[in-house]
Amino acid sequence: MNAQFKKGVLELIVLESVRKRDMYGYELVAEVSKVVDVNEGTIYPLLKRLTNEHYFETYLRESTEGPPRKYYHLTAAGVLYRDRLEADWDLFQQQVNRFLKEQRS
Amino acid sequence: MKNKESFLKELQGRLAVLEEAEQQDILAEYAQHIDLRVESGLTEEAAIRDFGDMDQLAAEILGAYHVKAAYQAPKEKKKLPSPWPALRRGGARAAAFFRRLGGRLSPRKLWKAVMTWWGKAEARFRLNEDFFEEPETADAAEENTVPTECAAGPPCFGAAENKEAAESMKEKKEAAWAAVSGFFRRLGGGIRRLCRGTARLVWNLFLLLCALPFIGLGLLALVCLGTLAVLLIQGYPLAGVTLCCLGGAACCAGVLGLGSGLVWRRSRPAVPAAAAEETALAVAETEREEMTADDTE
Repeated sequence: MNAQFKKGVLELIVLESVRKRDMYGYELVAEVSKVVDVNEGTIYPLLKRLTNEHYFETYLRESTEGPPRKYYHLTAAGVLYRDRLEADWDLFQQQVNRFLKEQRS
Repeated sequence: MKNKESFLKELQGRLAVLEEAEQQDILAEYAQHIDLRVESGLTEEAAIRDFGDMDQLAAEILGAYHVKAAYQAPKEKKKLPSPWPALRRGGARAAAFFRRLGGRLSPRKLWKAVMTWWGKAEARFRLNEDFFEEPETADAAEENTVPTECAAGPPCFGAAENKEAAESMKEKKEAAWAAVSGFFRRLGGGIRRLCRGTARLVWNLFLLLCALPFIGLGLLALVCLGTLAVLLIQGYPLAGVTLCCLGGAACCAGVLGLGSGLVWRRSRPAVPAAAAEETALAVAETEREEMTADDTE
């Protein structure tokens, strides 16, 4: 898939994944990878940026194996941001689809 | 061929601009990710390869903090030689200059200068006294003569002895009166002069006190200007600071020049036109005063 496409919707996919339940980094990377094939290196910086912008909160939780894991939790601001991104995405893909349909007919 | 350690080390080097806690937070996350990947059956190398290009990764992480990824650049800039040794040399030279200046201004010489000044001032004061006394006595003499004529004018008394006695009485009275009034006038003049002198002294001292910080600042600016000019010639980029020092020195000089207009100078004594000698004396006096005033200033 086109890397530019992926980059644009990656934020929405990450926000949506965390909305259902809190996740730690590795888990989140695996979740996102199921939807789009993405370079793992780019997800951590994205998480960092969303945390710095207060769309995520983080906390540490002990795990049964290995060191404690850092979990990401979507804040109220994060939920609003996710909804706005979804609306943007809907509008965007509708417009693109309509344009493609018009061109075909 | 990278392993986890070298990868983390390199990443930390790229993130040196961030706070230590943030660096550790990021590195821990990547370390954990690699560990989990290894647990799931991958090699460290493969896990690291999945992170992609190191430059891009560092740029993206720093981008999350709105930090420019190319931050390292200024570290490789050519270092200027430290200006401290040159400044210290300049300071030592200035100190030597002031020490020499201090040697020239030895206490003995200073004391001599003060004593000569005091002698001049005393001489002037005595001259002043003479000068102010003379018109008083002249006045008294006039007062003495005028009323006696008046008294002699109208023939009030018939008997010559009576008249003489009355005249002598009147003369005595007038003389006493003139002496007393002259004394009081002189006293009043002295007090006025004293007050004026004190006020002048206080005002001029106040001005001097106001001027002192500007003198100090001006001297400091001049010293800095000299030092910086030398450094500027040696090739340090100090043109702006040097200009600032020049401006500061000029400002101080301007303020001092302006303030010197406020100094209360001794006013010339009013010259009575009566005696030619006195005017000559007064002229010499004022001339000398001006000279001494110039000296003291």
